[in-house]
Amino acid sequence: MDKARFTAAVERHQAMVYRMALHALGSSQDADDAVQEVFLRLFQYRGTFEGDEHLRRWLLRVAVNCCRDLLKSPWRKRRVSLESLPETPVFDQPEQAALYREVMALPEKYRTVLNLFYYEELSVREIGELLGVGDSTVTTRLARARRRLRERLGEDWQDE
Amino acid sequence: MSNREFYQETFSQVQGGRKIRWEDYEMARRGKSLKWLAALAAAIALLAALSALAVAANFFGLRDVLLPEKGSVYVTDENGVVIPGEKEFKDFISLSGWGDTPESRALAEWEAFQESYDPDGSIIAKIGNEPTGFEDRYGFYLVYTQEMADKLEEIIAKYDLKLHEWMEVVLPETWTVAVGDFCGENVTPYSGYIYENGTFRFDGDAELGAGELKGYGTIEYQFSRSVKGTFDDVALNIGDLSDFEEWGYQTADGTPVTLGLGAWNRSLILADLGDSFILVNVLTGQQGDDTFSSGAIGREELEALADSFRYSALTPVREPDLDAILVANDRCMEELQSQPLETLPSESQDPLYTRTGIQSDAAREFILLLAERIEDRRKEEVADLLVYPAQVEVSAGTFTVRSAEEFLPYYEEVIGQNRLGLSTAMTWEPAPAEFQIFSDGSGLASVADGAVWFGLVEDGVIRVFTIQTDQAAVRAVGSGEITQDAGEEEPYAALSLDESRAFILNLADLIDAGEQEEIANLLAYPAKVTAAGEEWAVNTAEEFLEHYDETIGGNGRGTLASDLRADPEPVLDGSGGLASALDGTMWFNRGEDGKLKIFSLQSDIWLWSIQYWGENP
Repeated sequence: MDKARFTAAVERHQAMVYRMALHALGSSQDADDAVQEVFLRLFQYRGTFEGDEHLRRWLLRVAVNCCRDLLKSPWRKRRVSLESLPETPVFDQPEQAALYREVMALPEKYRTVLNLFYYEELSVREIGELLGVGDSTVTTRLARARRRLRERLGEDWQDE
Repeated sequence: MSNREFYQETFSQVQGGRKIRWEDYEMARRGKSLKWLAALAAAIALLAALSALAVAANFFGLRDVLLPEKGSVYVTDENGVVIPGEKEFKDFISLSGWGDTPESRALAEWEAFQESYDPDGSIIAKIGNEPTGFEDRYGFYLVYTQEMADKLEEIIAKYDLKLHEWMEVVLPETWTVAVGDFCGENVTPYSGYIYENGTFRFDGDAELGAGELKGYGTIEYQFSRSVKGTFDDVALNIGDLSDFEEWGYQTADGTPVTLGLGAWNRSLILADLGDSFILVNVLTGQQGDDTFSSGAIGREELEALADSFRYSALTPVREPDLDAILVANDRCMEELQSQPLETLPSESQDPLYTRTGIQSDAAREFILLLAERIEDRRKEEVADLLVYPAQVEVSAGTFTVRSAEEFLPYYEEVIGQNRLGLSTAMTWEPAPAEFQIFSDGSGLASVADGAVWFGLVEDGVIRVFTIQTDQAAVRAVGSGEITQDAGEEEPYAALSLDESRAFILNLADLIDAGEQEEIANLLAYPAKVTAAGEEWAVNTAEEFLEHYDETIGGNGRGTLASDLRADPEPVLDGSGGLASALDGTMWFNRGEDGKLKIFSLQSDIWLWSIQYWGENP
């Protein structure tokens, strides 16, 4: 990949990769590391992409794999406990801060599915393919996460 | 505003803090460091000077790598979230060598300086993520002011040490190229990184399956080699030194090592190879930690892991060949990228084989064969694939069949009328080249969302144990040894869908009604109860009631009851044994008295679990 395409890919998709990693890892420092690793793989990638959507799916898949590796790494656990406190993002509205807090308090598998469904707008089938799990597992995770958000956020999170 | 809009507006405000630049990767490829990679080796909180001495002649123990004062770490809650302002103090050890070496002394001095420098973080806060100008020489160390640079120079001059100059990622298949063949056949190294002097670190796993350890399974660890003569600022939090049992051991290749068997999720292997120092951080101990490894270990397992490395192949240290590493990494990357998601190295094992003894390819072939026969109405050939005796549940009642011939009269109602639905569901492919095959640990596997269960029978061939639809079912009875006709009075009869469904709905009612005693009587004992980060052994219903409010009766009570009521369809494992509800949230089976008992119940969201802890669930 040449510099121009790489730079364009970073501009368009860095935020997506970061969100994916933040949901998977629950730590902004680790998410930053994962972003760097994902784009390192893009830098090293010798193949071609059939379009921006192909690139986006490729980055999501690589991000999932990178985060899995990081989640298994106890070096990460050490760093999480030793580095400075994770910064709390500042939000426009208090209910947005509450949503962020409740999402990040969920176990990883629920956070990841929520992000892919609500933010990246992937279908249940697409999420299952990306994560290597069945449709029923995805829908179960979504249902439980929604229920938890509804319980904790009250009217801010609507029934679906 | 929809939930999706709410979600997107919220998380669009969350941004990463690191700039991704093509030029940085180019620099790294040419041998310069990436600042973020240096964070992997970031300094940690340590205090004061080093004064440790060997505790016994000719034996260096953990105390000899212990840094003299405890380091502070942040406290996290049960979700792993840092609790602001709360710290605790832990023992830390050097990865660089015994305590009286220049490398470890330098580390202690550097950490003592860092502990007192910029204590409130105000200096680094002003700098933020902007370049400091110190990256070129100090890119692998936490240096962001001239004062820090001066101190680091003073320390390395005092101990005659060099600084790291470059570092490169090493992918799993590249380790042999990078440092030589030092891993036993049971060892799998993951990706890691290597410095210019041959210092390297990686995470890995090893299968401990030999001799008396047969069946232990996978053990995970972190392997570190620190080459002497260069300053390295990594130290390791080991919790409490007094938790470790330590002894000397000579490995299979004749290397003397120090072994430290920890209590929970940490054990250690230490070896001084002369020109480098090895530290293997093993991620389990005497009590075990199934987060990463198969379970608890003892001295034998730790010695077996120590024997899994050829330390003699790591000395003398040779400088890594960066070009060769990059070429090998490229080759590895190309292979990785050409693989589907499911077969990347960390997932390369065949979990279906592990659980059922059936290889995925063989399972796939069997599913295709069965689906084809069902679709083509080849009744006799389908019947030949079932296990007998079996219980047939049809509209007219429940009957026992002992052979394919006896089953054929029921074929149409059980299978024929759902011919296309079954065959389609069995061969539906959610991911490229992969059926959705499920296995629950019972030894059987299922497809079509639990409609078909199959497994190995005594002669090693695959046979169908259960086919069930909304209208009818055929299930093998026990392991094929039951001779009673189903329907007779028999306390240990196989679980049926109706009975299981009723059990689930009854539990939901009991939870809603707060019937603690009745719920406690539904659990199988002894059990292990985990909640709020603590664990209790519970032997009776009375004992469980003390933990009712922390588990079933806690915040998630309403959710659990409504989930059970909304989805009361059980998944039976096909052998007439365990049944599960809510995607494995609950497992139940018949207890010794013939009544249904809950053997496992857990909440992923509220982080509690109740697990039967006896024999033969």
